[in-house]
Formats: sequence, C-alpha cells, structure tokens
Amino acid sequence: MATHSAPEQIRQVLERAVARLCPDWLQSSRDDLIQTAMLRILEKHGSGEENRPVNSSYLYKTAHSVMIDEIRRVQRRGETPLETAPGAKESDTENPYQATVGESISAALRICLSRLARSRRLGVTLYLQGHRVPEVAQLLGWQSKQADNSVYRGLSDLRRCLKGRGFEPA
Amino acid sequence: MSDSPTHETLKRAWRSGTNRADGGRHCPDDAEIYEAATGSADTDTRRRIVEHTARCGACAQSWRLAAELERARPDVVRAEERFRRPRDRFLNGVLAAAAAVVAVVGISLMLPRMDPGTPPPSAGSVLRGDDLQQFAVTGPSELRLGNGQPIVFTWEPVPEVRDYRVRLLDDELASLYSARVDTERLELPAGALSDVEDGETIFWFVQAELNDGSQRRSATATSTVRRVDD
Repeated sequence: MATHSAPEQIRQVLERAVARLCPDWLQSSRDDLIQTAMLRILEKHGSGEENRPVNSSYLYKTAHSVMIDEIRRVQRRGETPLETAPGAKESDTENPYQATVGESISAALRICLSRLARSRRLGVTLYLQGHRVPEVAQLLGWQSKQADNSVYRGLSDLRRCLKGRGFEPA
Repeated sequence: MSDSPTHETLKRAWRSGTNRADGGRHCPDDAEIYEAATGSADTDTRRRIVEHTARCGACAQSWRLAAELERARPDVVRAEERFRRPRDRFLNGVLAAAAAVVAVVGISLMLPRMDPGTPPPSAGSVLRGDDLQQFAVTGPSELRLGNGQPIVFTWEPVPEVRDYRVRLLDDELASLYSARVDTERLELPAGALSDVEDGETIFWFVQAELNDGSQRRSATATSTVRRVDD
C-alpha cells in the first residue's frame, strides 16, 4: 500500500484528489479545501516532525470528506446554481422548463425505485450512479449473472413504472 | 451491457435529482460511504448504504464522488488494496486492530484537536473541531516581522502545569519552530520565521504537560506573516 509521510507528498496527493472532484463553482476554494484536508490529517497523524506515514486511501477519504462537507455547506446556503452542482456536466445544464421537468422525473424516479424488489433496487441504483454491471456485482457481492439480471430487469420495471406516471425516457 | 440512450436519460435524470439534494443531515458517515463506494467496507455495509442512496440524494452524490475519486487513484494502489486475498485481509485486520490501539494511545498524546469555541478576541483565526479539553490561545492574528517589535504568543494558564510546548507549522504543516517554556507566553526569537514569506499563513498551538504526566492541548490558531522590512 502506498504511504506518505512528508507534508509535501501528502499535499500532492490531496491536490490531485481535490482537483479531480472540485466542481467549477468551488475552484476558488480549492486551496482552502486542500488546506482543510491537510489539517484534518495533522489532527490525526501529527505534524511533519513525527512523519507518521499515512496511506493513500486515507488521504483520498479525507479529501472526499472535506469536499462533501463543503458542497453540503454551499448547497444548504443556496450559494450555487443548481445547474452547476458537482458532478453535473455542461450538457446537464437546463432551462427553467427542462429543470422543472427534470425535477418531476427525478421525483418519479425515486418513487419508482423505491417500489422495485430490493435486489433490483440495489442493482439499478448502482447502475444509475454510473457503475457498470461487473462493478455492481463486485460491490454487492453477487455473481455477474445475478447482477446482470437485477440491473436489466430492474431497469425494465423502472421504465414501466415511469411510463405509468407519464414519463417515457426517449 | 451497453448504454442505450434510454439508460443514459435515466442516469442524467438521476444525477440531476441527486445533485439538487438537500442535506446530509441524516446521512451515514462520509468515511462509511467512501469505504462502501470504494469496495473496502464489508458486503452487508455496502448493500445497506446502496439502499440508503436509493432514497437519499445527498448520499448518492457522496457515493458518486467517492467512486469518481477511486477511479482517479493510481491502479497499482487500487489493485493492492482492493484485491487482497481474504487471508491477507484477516491478518491485516488483526494488525490494524493492534495498530489502532497503539494509535489511540499515540494520538491522545499528540497534536491538538480543533477548537469548538469562539476564538478569543486577540487571536488569529482559530480552527474548529471537537475536542473539549482545549484551552484558548491569544496570539496575534498578524505576525509583523522586521519592525523591531517582539512577536509574543500567549495562552490561558492551565492548572497543575509543568511546562508548555509551543509549535509553529507552515501552511504545508511542516514544523517551523518548537520550544518549551514554563510560562504562558513565548517570545519568538529573531529569525525563527526567516524562511516564511510575506502573506503566508502559519498554524500554531500549545501542549501543556501537567504534573501528573498527562497533557492538555490548546486550540490550533492561524496567523498571517507580514514582513514590514520588505
């Protein structure tokens, strides 16, 4: 497992992690986020004097936590336009009409998802999150065939439910 | 499975909905979500958290970011950590448990947690956190170097104290200066911050060593260096 002890090494890993996650609307806070992550690590592992090694996984986890905290803080305050929320791509930006329709679809999606059989709900949720079927299998501890069936059949159920609510994804 | 346009539409709608999510107030711990999303949590935990993300947009977003981050990690690291054999995992678990015991003891003797309270009026910015055993520091928010005036850090007295250790760190958390004193003040020697540039932020805190061998920690404060000789 890769470990890091020198502050500059730790900072480099954090910089990479934050750069990967940081949405455009948080770019101005990027250095602050890295610094916050550095401080969290300092709290747990000591200053450069001690040189206690920390592994990459811990650094990435810390970067993730700092980023999520900041995103939630900003979202709670309503400081960012919804269209540019983290994870959104340029093609996701919507006009007000699209946004309203999108909200309706999202709400319907959530309701329909909740009505799926559990195994299908788990598989479909991961699929909607961007995982491919082999990853779904690995994450849920399933055989690939089971994952494949759950995702396919779950998506079919989901579309049927959405259609019943007046949504038919093109 | 190939991504049909229909599935992509669903994914976009899902992502859009979860990006709009309020919250995080009732979510599992971020670390738990991260471990689940990156495959390092046990299977039951992963399933439980996926179940939660199906109805909680904030956690779905957190999961996505964790998964994105995992994909960004160098393959060699991910491969080593994700595909360890079960036996290795067991041994590592035993070692990790032993290490955790050592770490808990070690960390308790180490650096300060952040201050949960309001910064004292004359201190630099005091960082927040969760430790309840801290004492307040009252150093300058700006360290003006080069004007011939001494820079003095002060803090509130701690009962039954033997001595204090003061530490200054740079903005990359490397140690700049460290000293032991037996009063509640430290006058910084000339040249102690000679490598620090104008405008840089430093972090500093105090550890109180008590007569019974225990320790207390101050909040961690920040101060900005101003070079008036430049």
